Amino acid sequence: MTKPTRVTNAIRQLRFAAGEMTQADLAERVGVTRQTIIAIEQGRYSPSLEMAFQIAHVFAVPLDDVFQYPRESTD
Amino acid sequence: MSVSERSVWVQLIVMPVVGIVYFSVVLTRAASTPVADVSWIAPMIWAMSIVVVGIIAGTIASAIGSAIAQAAQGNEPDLEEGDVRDKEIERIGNLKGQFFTGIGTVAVIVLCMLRVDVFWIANAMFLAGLLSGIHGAIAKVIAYRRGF
Repeated sequence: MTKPTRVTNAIRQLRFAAGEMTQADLAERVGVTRQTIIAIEQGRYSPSLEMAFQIAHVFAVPLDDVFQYPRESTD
Repeated sequence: MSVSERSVWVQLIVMPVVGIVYFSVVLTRAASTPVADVSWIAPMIWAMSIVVVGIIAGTIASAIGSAIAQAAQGNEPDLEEGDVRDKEIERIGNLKGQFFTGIGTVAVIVLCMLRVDVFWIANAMFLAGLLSGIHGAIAKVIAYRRGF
C-alpha cells in the first residue's frame, strides 16, 4: 500500500530517547488524540506546520530532526 | 479509536441497512400497486428517524462497549473526542458525499420537469441522501485507516 505522504519522521525514536515517552503523553502535550500521533508516526497523516513545530518543541529539537522530506532528483 | 471515528463506522452500518430495508418495503409495494397509491411517507419518516437515532445510539453503545472492554483489559477507556485530524477527515468525507447530493439534485429537477409522481421525486431525494452519507462515510473510513 502506498503511503499517502512522502514526509517521514523520527517521532518513535525521539519518544524512546525522551525516556520512553508514550504516544498518549506526546498526544496530551501536543493537544491531539493518541490516534493522531499513531497516524503521524505511521506516515498516514501529515500534520500541519503548527502541529509539527509543537511536536519538535516537545522534544526540544529542530523541525528537521523530527520530520524529513526526500529531495527531488534533478537528474 | 476516537468517538468521531466510531460514529463514522456506525453510520456505515446503519445507513445501508436502513436503506435496503426501506427500499425493499416500498419497492415491493410499488410492484403490486400504482405508485400514486403506495404508502411511502410513514416508512420514510421511520427510516429517517431510525438513521438519526441509530447513529446516535450506536455511537454511544460502541463507546460504552469499548470502555468496558478496555477496563476489562486494565486499560484506560478510549473516549477521545477528536481533534484537528478528525475535523479534516470530516471535511473530506462531506466533500466526497456532495457527489451524490449533486446527482440527486439534478435527478429531482429532471423528475419535476417530467412531472412524475411525487413518489419518485421523494424517493430519488432520499436515495441521494443515503448514498451521499454512505459515500462520505466510506471516504472517512479510508482516510482514517489509510491516511490522506
